[in-house]
Amino acid sequence: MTNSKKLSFMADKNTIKVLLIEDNLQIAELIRDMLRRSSTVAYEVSHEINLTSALRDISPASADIIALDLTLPDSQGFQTFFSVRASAPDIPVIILTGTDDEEMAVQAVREGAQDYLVKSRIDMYVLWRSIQYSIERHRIERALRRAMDELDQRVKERTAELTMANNELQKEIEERVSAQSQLVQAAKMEVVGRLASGVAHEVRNPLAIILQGIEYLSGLVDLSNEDVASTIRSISKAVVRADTIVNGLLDFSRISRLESKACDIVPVIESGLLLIKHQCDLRHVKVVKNFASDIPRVTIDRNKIEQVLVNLCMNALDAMSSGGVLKVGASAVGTATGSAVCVEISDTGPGISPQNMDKIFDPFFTTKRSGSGTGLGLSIVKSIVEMHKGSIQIKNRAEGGAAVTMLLPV
Amino acid sequence: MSEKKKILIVDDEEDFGKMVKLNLERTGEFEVRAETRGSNALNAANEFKPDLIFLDVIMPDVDGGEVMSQLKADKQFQDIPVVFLTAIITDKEASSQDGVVAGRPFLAKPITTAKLISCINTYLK
Repeated sequence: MTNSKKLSFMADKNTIKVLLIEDNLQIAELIRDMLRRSSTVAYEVSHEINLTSALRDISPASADIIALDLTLPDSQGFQTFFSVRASAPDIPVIILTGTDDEEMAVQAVREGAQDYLVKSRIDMYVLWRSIQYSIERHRIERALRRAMDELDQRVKERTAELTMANNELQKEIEERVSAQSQLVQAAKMEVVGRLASGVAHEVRNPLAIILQGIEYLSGLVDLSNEDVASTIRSISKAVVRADTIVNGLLDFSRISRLESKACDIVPVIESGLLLIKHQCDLRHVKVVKNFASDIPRVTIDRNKIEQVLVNLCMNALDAMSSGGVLKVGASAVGTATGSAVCVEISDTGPGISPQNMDKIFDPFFTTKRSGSGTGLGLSIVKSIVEMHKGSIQIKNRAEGGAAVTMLLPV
Repeated sequence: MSEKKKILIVDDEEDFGKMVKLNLERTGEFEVRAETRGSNALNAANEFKPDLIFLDVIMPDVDGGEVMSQLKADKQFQDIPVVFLTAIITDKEASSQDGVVAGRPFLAKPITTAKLISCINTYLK
């Protein structure tokens, strides 16, 4: 094969700068001579006999290709190739090797050298061809690497775009699910509202008759007879108990309307604690408050959140009939969807049994003795918190007692 | 001896009206007429000339709101206090607004005679 046909990269370039790094002057001269003989390409050869001087000012402008002897006065073996590649990664390298270290030259090609030539068998045409093909191959490799880098970059950009689009889609889906859930909730509350009004009308009217009847009969019977008096009291209590259940149902049905305003949570908590102060004193419960100083304002229906806090505190007090500590705290926290105000209420009571934990927010579920609770308290609490787009969790504390965590979005 | 206060109660729950009449009249301070139909309320008021009217909200023929409009359209009843009685608001809701809901006095059923008398005394000072 001859070099009669120029390669594509040489279409507008007839001079190839060769940096020859070879300490054997005879070999160097031989190579210079071979290159000088080319009639189609002008080889401009610069020669260095050691690595240090060769690498001093090396750049793609100073050399199109490097012909490198691996055994030099200041560097031997593989290290020589690595040093050159580190200093001039953009210049192709041809290894010049003796017959005794050919294996190392093969290894250098595997590591990135373009070709190797055994000095004792150098042929002029082989040298020309090796130089030209090495330059061309190096150029193609670089173009390929650039294309791959660009492709990689485009894949990254496109992946980022798709991730963003996916996140937006996910957010939209969540918003739609949330809107749908709110619609369903509103429809449910409307049904509950109608049901509650119907139940209230049909139950409380008979209760009104019973209550008036008891009052009338009380004036006609002998109340000094304890059996008569206790019967009258029992009927009255039963009326109050049934009325309380219906009131709870009406309360539950009316939480769909919020009158929200931006306000500080701490005064709302303080106001709720004031309402239960007497109950705390009666049960010898100590109240420990822990409010952070940097709590942002929240948009809430103050009365309903106060109702929530009173209900939660009363539940905590009911769990501490023989005294204990009621801890109430508030702080600002970060959530997956933004920031929120966190209100924590904990007691030192017996905690909640595991079998009741899943049912704790169910309507009409109560652990209190018959007649003491409507079983609507916590379901109303949960509904009010959810209407504020907040969340509420109850868990048992490792040190004993139960803890409620309520998050209200800012 | 002062004249008895005349109380008209309009409520489709006949037994409730009857019981209220018995309990209020037993005090000796009130004369009570119980009417069960909203459509008869205006006639009853014309005949009885009440000092105060207790008016049920939900009634099958003419509801309390309509009866209230009829009464207020008649000059002779414009100054007569009308207190609504209903089972569909809670006592807490009624009392949280001083017994006034949507600009009208309300009492929640079931109700004790003591509360009825307290309400009468408030409006008939």
